[in-house]
Amino acid sequence: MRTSVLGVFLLVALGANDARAANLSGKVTVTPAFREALAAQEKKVGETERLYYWQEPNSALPVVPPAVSPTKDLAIIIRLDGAPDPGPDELQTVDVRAGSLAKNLVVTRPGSTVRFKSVDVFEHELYSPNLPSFTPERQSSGAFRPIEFPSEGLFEVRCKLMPHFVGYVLVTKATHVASLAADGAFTLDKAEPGKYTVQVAFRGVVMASESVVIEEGGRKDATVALKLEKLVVAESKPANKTETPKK
Amino acid sequence: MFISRFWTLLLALATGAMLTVILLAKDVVNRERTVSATMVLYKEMSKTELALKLHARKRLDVLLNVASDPDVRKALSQVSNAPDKADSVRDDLLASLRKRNTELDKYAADWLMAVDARGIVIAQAGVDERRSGADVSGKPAVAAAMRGYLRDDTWKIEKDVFLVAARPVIDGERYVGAVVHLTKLSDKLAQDISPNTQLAFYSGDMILALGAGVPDTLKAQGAHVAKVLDQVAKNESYLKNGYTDVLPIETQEGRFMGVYSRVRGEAGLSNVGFALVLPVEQLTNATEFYEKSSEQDIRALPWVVIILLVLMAMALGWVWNYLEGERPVSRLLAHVRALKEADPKDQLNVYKFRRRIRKVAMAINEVMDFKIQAMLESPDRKSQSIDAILGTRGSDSRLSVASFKLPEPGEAPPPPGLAMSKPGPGFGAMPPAPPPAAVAAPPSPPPQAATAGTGPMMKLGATGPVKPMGRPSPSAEPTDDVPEVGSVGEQAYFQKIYDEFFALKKQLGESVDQLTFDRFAVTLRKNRDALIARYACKAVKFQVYEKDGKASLKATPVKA
Repeated sequence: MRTSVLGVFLLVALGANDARAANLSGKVTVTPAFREALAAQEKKVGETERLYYWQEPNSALPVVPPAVSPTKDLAIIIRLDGAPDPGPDELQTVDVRAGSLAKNLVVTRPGSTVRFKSVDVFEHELYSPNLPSFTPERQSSGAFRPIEFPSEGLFEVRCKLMPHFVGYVLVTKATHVASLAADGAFTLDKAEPGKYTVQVAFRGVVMASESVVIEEGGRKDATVALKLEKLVVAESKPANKTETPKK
Repeated sequence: MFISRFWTLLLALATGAMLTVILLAKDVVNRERTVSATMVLYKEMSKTELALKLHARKRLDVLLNVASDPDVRKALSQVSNAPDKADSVRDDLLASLRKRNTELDKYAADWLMAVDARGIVIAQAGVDERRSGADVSGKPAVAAAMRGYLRDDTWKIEKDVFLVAARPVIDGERYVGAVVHLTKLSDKLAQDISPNTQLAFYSGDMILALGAGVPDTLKAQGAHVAKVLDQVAKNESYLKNGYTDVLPIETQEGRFMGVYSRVRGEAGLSNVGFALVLPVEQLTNATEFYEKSSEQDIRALPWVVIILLVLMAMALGWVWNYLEGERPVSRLLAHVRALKEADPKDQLNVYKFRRRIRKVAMAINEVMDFKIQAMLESPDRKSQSIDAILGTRGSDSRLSVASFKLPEPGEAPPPPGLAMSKPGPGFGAMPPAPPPAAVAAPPSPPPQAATAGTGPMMKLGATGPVKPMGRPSPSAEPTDDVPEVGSVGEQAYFQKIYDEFFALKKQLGESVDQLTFDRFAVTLRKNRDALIARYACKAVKFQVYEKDGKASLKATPVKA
């Protein structure tokens, strides 16, 4: 009898372990149309902001559209329906390189602190035009600068010394934030049962979104495929305001 | 003096008008200069933009020599394939960069970079050549070049600003990196870009470079250009369009006007720009028209017309002055001097003068009367006759007789006043006449005494010169039986004079139709009363005589 009861417990325990072991995975594909749209948008900005007199293709080879690096430019935001507020993230460090952040889009939760570390040979004066507490401050190579992001919103990070410098910090109550591989793949191990919304963000704006359900006790991995086809331009919003993408 | 005064008024108005025109002209000139400078500055700004654009094009073009260099292509290709080979190719790559940069001659870069496909600087010539490894992939111009674009830009690196041109480096069928050409903003570059107008490059509140501008013109200093930079950042047009309105720059050396524009490129977003400055001389006072005119300007003036106008104005002024000032005074002077030769009792004929001169003449007459009276009243003179007091011609009875002309029948009554005339250099005085009497007593107090046969010669209503001391007709010899005023014999005396007068008129062929005794007697009484009032005499003796072919009467005060 005791042996039977123990066997039932083991089966239940194993079954439970099997259910938690379901993974949520997916892949983000950047379409050529998206890169062309990005090139067109960059050209428009260059002209309207008088960034050059001449920008013309060379006569030998076709021009390559701007690259979108999944590891650097994209972020996966996963939300589980009914999940409790996870609270602030642990301190995360972002490197500051020439012209941009090492990771152009940083996703974090309200109340979290992001530490900006300069790894550039040039000095920087980072600031955010829509976060009053993030004021310009001279930062030499190797120096850290911790900044707290108290509320939800999309925050641009700019540099006074390098006008072209731009990075984004998206502050949102995500259940999970997944990193992307160079090929655009991502995985959330041991996803809990429930309905998930998986979003891919570029420059702080959600470009594509998919929903997936992991059944209670299910063992099969859930997979989503996200395609970046249409470029949505971000509009900087002040703190305490939710983002509203502008098409 | 009316014309002289009118002429003076005209000259004053003309002077006022000229002053107004000159003062207005000063403001108009200043405004026109400002408008002109504004237009020039906007044109020069367009030209500078064009010059910078052409300069960028030229840099991109000459950079092809570097980008197509086989050694550069080979080195960057090797590093793009294997980043760890960067150190091994660096020296050769640097040598190639130096060589190619020298060949660029006038457009040689101050800083020439070779960047691999990752955006890492593998070698650089011109600045800090031993340094490498910097990541410039984030620079938009470099990123664009690595994708295949030719692009210009401006970079601000620490305190310096560079004009940038970047080209892709192609090896085979792929992009293996880029070459980046940097030209530092300098005074020489500013002068080359804008030889006609002073061009300055600024960064924030600092002047980076300043062109020399046109020789022999007022030059702005860097501090002058920087003076309004704080206004530039707030200028509405600058924030909206990238360039300011034309701003005035006041300095100790003079007044300038400037327009400020952002440079194109990344540095423009860091408030780097160029300023075009023009000296604008302002006239502060009207005399500067003369002070700042050239010899050529002065020679070009219509001097003949100007001199003629001045001479004409002066001559006219003198003519009016002579006619209305000097000539009447000279006449008065001549008449006054002639009094010396005339009878002491004669006075100036005020009708020969006008306006103020007449008043002067009247005043002279009054003074003369006053003096005579004073002499008559003096104790040592009281016993003397009036002829003894007034002159040496006491024996000449003609001078002591007052003559007057009776009004012709139908003739208007004489004007208020009594004209006195003197034979020869005739003078007359016009003492105020008590209306309606035709003969008026002078305002001065009458002399105390007058002897028969003495007294000023008076002419009532005379027009034209009186015949000098016309000899009385035989019938007009004075008689001793002059009746006293109001006496019984007076009427008979008047009748006797009337008869003599009537007879003489008939004799001379004059009309006697209207000559009645009653009117004649009235006239005699009036003149008698006037003379008595003036000379305080007791009676008046009348004599009939011929003057200028006409019958005339002479009245003589009789003291006793």
